[in-house]
Amino acid sequence: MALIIEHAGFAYNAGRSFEHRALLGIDMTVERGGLTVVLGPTGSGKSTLLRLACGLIDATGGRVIIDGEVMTSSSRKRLRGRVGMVFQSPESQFFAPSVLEDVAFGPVNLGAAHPMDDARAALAAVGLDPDEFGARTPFGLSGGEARRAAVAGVLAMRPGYLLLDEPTAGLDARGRAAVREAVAAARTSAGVVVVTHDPDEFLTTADRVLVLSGGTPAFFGTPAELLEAGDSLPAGVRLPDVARAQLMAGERCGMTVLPVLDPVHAARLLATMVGGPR
Amino acid sequence: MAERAATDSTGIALRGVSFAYTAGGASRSALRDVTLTLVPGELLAVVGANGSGKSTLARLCNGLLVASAGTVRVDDLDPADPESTWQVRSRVAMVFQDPDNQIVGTVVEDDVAFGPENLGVPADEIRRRVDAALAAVGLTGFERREPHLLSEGQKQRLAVASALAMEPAFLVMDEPCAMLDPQGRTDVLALAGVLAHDRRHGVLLVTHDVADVAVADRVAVLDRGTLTFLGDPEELLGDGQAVAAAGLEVPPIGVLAAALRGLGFDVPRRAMTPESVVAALWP
Repeated sequence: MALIIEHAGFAYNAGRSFEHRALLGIDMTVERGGLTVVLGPTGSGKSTLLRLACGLIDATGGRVIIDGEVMTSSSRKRLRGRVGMVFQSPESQFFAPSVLEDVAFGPVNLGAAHPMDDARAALAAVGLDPDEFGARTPFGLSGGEARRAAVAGVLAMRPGYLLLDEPTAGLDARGRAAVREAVAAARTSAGVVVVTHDPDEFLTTADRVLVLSGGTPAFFGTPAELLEAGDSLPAGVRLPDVARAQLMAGERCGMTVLPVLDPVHAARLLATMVGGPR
Repeated sequence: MAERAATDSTGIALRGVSFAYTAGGASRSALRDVTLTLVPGELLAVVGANGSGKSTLARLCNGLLVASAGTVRVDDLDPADPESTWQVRSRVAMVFQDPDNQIVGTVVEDDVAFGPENLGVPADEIRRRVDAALAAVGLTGFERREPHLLSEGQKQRLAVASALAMEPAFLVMDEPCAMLDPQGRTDVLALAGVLAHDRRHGVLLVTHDVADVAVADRVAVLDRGTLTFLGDPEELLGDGQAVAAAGLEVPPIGVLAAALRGLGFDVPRRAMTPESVVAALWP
């Protein structure tokens, strides 16, 4: 069971004079329970990739395969139901008078047998107690609560895959931690893809990383392999600062360094490189 | 001109300022009894969690919001006084989180010229201001480019240039880095420093990223509407508990630097980038 992007590409305004190629030759596999992080500078095609993966746009080359079925014009409507998408600033899409009704909107529309139960389960999964939050207005939630409620609204449709576009953008520390927990919870039932600017947020828990540059894949592998790739990443993509500090230190000492992400562990490694405290 | 405007200025002063949002008869307090000043040539960071009142404070500085209690003065002008509102706004320019919300021109130089054109500034003076503003943000050569084809970081610098063309004494930047990738963020933070220290604007930088505090001269911490800290960024950056109490987080590179200090290394508290940490270890 996996969501597979197979050598896929996409061009906006394909075939017209102002054609803009946003993606080319992308290969990516997301297993159920997996977490793939997509990194890349603004305009590298990250959001386009998510739209392609959930069937909002059709690949202009290559294929999208969901649980063994190729996404085509005839299968798309059915397959789309397996892929849930959380857009940037999803809280701007709240409309119902209560959190519970907002979260239940998807299951109700899909004709679920027990939409309110689905909604309550989804709220609990993202760490929002349905008894405490269900009756509240979604417009009075804090940033982190709102973002989690929006994730619950997608999880309530029980997707096999969950795609999130910059889910921690604009949130403070508490809100970001809450979203990271919600993503971890979603992995118990779904494969997750997170697009982000900030490599610090999800790299420690991801099992795959895709780096995009100008619409083409610059790297696909495990976080450990990404750290090994070190400074050979395209402009605009940075490793986490903790890893970069170790690579810079390695350069100073003429040593090859395999960086670690834990800052306290990294401090001990750096101390060894300097040769103990002075 | 910008330099002259800035040096004539005495500052933005908030004294005992409170603000409550009211809707449908209900009132929600957003700021309580805040006193602080921003002087020309100073980069003051305001940090706080979501809902701490940061953006409310920013909007009080140029009369977009009017204090419920206390006083706001911009060079001794009252932003709440209709007689002086426009003078205040010409002195206090704002840059918001999403540059797409404030870019109006179809090409870069038109966007920068929009403000002074509306003030009736003569054409040759507009040309001078546009060139100076674009030079200040490092966008010289981009005059005829279309804003939507710029990177997010370039767009944010364009928004700053368009604010500078109004020749304000003060620049209030509300989460200017929130939408930016790491390079864009580095560029905009560096620009905030240049505007304050080299060009002598008073710059208020609103952020929820504790690392941004490292570039500031002073930092104010807001926690649920109350000013809980006002002082030296180094003091705040060295106090993990105070940071956590305000719902904020020292970034991993700051945790690394603190761990190195714990091991006996002399790493400055302002070292919030890998470059500065490594430079401290190998001076």
